[in-house]
Amino acid sequence: MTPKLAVAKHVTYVQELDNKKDSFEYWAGEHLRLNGVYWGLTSVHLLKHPEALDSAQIIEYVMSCQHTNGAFGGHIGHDPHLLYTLSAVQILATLDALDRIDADQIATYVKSLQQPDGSFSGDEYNEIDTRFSYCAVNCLSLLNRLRQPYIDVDRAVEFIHSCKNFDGGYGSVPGAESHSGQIFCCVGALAILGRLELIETDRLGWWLAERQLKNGGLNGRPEKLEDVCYSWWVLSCLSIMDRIHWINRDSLVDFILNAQDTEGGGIADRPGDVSDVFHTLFGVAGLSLLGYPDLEPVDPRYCMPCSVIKRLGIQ
Amino acid sequence: MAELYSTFSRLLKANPASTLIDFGFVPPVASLESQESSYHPFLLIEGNLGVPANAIPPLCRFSHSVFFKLANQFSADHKCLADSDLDELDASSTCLLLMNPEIYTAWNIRKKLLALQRLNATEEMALIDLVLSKHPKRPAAWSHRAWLLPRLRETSTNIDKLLTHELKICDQAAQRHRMNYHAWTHRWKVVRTAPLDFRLSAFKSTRKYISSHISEHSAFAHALAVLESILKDPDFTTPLELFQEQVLESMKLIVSYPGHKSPWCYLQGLFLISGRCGLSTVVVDARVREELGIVHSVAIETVDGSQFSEVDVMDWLEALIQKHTFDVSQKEGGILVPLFQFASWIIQASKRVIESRKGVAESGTIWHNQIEIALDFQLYLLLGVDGVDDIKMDLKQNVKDAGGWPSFLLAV
Ligand SMILES: [Zn+2]
Repeated sequence: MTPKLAVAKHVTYVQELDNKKDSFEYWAGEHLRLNGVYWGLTSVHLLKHPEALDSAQIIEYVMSCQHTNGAFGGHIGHDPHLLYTLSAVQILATLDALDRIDADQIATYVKSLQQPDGSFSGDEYNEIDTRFSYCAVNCLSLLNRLRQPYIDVDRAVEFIHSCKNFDGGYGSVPGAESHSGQIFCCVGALAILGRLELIETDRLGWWLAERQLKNGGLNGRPEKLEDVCYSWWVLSCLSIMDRIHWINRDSLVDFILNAQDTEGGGIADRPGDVSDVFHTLFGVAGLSLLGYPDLEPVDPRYCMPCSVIKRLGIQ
Repeated sequence: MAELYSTFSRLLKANPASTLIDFGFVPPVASLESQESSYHPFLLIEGNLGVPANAIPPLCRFSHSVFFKLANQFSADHKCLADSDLDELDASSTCLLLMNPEIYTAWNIRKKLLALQRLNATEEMALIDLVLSKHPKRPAAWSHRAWLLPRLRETSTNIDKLLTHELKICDQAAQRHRMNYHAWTHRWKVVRTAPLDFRLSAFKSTRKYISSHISEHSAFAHALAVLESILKDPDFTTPLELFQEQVLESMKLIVSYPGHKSPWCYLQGLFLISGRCGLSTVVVDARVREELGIVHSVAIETVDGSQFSEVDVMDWLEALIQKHTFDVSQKEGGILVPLFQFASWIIQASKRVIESRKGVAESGTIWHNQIEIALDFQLYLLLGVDGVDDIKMDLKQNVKDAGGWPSFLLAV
């Protein structure tokens, strides 16, 4: 029998993550703590329990990760990077605390990472990846700085488009294998930029729908195992392209619910595994997109509550 | 903790990464107590370095505190650090990254030490090799490698050797973790800008890899990208021959390993890139309509008991393809691709291969998978092709009749 969504357990699970500070596992994940805060915070908001975490404490922690150039590191004392800068902006936007940061300064930092071909580097060391295009576009959109004199939007679109493969999917750089995570980044960025006409909707939708396996779960690429986080990467794209009905909703809902830890809380990558906050967010967000009852609606482009996106005046 | 760390540092100083082959974690030991005369509790056997599982947490915590204390001072003003501090920064970041290569700030400090020429670029590449031997899919390690490679290239006297080593490391990482996105992407970054000869040999080695890793979709996707770059190269003189050979080879793989998705994706990819490479036009002509329904009828036909060896089937398939496809095509100035014929031949050939392996328990499932993928393949290739609505409808009916098919096949 498939259990129901254990809302209270998941909220407690997220609340208690911070009490595990002494455990080696918690400590070893320090370099991406800011991502972790975003995953946990967004989870409880989608579960309709925004009061579960102490906003003031979170905001102070986020600010302690900021560097003098405006960018954020993964934790106090770690170098600035676009991945964590996006998480910081998402957290502050969700908590209605964007007044704590200088949007122009962050937009200038993001601009400094754009390359002549329109791509983005994750930091000053020139690693190029469509993930960073997404981070840049999402971040600037939340800050209402998606325009000149900041980034060159047309070039950014051109680069993303150059990463489209014959199968309709996208990889990390031109010619790299299509991957659902990268596809989410590219489709999400194009959706935010209002350039969905560049997507081969049917071909890509087909590829994405083929990710559903017999057990209802979705994988990220052909020949891979099913994984709850792909409920988000794949489903958000299908939702943006209005093709969510191409997969079997009920069997996916069952798959996610069976990956819950109904005693200790949290959701794992697949049934039987140990839960973590990353898969908890993407499981809950996937359920929200699938219309599971009593969840806050999630925006498929930003992976944030629709209410937050609306408050920011984003269409 | 301090002693454990200093033993480990002493070991690495005497045995730098370039002298080591492999790094890994080994079962816990009873005592972590260091002994001056040896490297206990660490294992070093013929270039293989092992850290006992119970030494990882104390080693991580200690090197972490050493590293971040110095790193913060270094970032504030690197000139205020003594030479011994810079050596300590090297030792502590090495230790930290071998345990946890995701601490990107430690790689960044090493980039700065390289710029100050406190570290040697060749030795740094060896350290990344060692880290990847234990952690083959850690993005921060691959990112550091991608940053370092062009710097090594600038000073290298033997670029071919340098790039060949990159392919070797990518292959090892791919072997250690299947569908390793970072390894295949790094390989692609190395290959895509290389000269034609290098790309041809990289293509050959990937095809060899595929033949023993039939479900490695990443390898197929990589092969397709390399193939496209070769077919588009104006210096490459025999694109049509190579393309035909690849069509045939992929069909043989599909028949030899029925029920696997990757080779079908490759065949699909061949059709989809052929247009971009100026090789063919996909033509749906009258004969296609005649062929319609073959897959369906094969699917429901009962086993007739005839036995074919695998070799017979391959010969038959090869003769069929040569006779019907490429002869016709060349007359018409392009490769004619009767989509349904391809899928139908594959199915007929597969059926015989599966029959020849009668008694294998999963043969029913394999057969079902093969038919499912074939129907999917046919429908997929019709995406965006005009004037074939009736064919699509018939195929969808087949899909429906078979039952239990994914909803998107009926939705399109
Ligand atoms: Zn996952």
